[in-house]
Amino acid sequence: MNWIRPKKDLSKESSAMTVRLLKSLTMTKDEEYSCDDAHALIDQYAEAKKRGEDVEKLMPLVKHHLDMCRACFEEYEALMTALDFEETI
Amino acid sequence: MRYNGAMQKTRDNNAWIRDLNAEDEQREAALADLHVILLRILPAALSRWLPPTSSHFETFIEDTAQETMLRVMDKLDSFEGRSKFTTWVYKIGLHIGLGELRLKRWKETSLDKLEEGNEPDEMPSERFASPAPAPEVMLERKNIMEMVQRIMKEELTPRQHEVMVAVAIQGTPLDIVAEEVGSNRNALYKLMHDARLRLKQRLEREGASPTDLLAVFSQ
Repeated sequence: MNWIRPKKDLSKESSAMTVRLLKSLTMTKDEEYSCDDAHALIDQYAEAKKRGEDVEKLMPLVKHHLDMCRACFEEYEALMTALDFEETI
Repeated sequence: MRYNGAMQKTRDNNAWIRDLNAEDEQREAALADLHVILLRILPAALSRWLPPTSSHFETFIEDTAQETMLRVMDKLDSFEGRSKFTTWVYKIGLHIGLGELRLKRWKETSLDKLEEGNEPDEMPSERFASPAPAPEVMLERKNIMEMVQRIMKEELTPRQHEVMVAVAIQGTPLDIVAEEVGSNRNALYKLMHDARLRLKQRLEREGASPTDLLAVFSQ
């Protein structure tokens, strides 16, 4: 599979890669939202955030997913940009 | 009925659903208004990932807007009114647009990064403050890395192992791996969650919490 990098020997993985994995383990919870779970609520989450509500407390599982999933976090950031821009037009 | 400066009808959620479920001219007018809105919002929201100066920017935005409208019409019955209708539309459009841009970005840059030996998406915090830790710390780090690799091989299924190496260790975007293995981001996230839980529980059974292990790398 070409997403496994060639010339890479797992026995020589750098410390940075182990750190990346260990960080993800420290943030792992028994119950987590999947990408679809978070996507279903991200519009409500973004609007609540715009209203200044405490979204981390109101929707902690969405917040946790955004901390764990770079792709979903990017979509959230873009959605917030869209809502900011919407106010200007 | 109100119109904004561009002569678009201003609709609340109920009006959007009513008009998009209508027939002929009423529906076409609503779709045309949605198209105009998307062509305003998408460039602003996606400009961080695709500069407006890019030669294919306009084509990309138009394609994303069209795909978004198709998806919105397909999922219209699932809209529950928990947010503004337009916010719901934006999240669908940005999911489509960013998904495409991630694939494109990865295909364009992965070969360069391979040749340079860089790690994708590496965060500054993942580098170390001290370039030359004490020998005993180096040895401890080496032992931890070997233990983590051993536990990964023992605890994870071959598929979990492959995905974890690609995503959690090498930093390959989840969408990219999903395309390669014929899956989707949601399924792979669940697979990785299960894998992370297994690794965390195994480490804890061996008396080594991830937090304590991580601390060795920040000495």
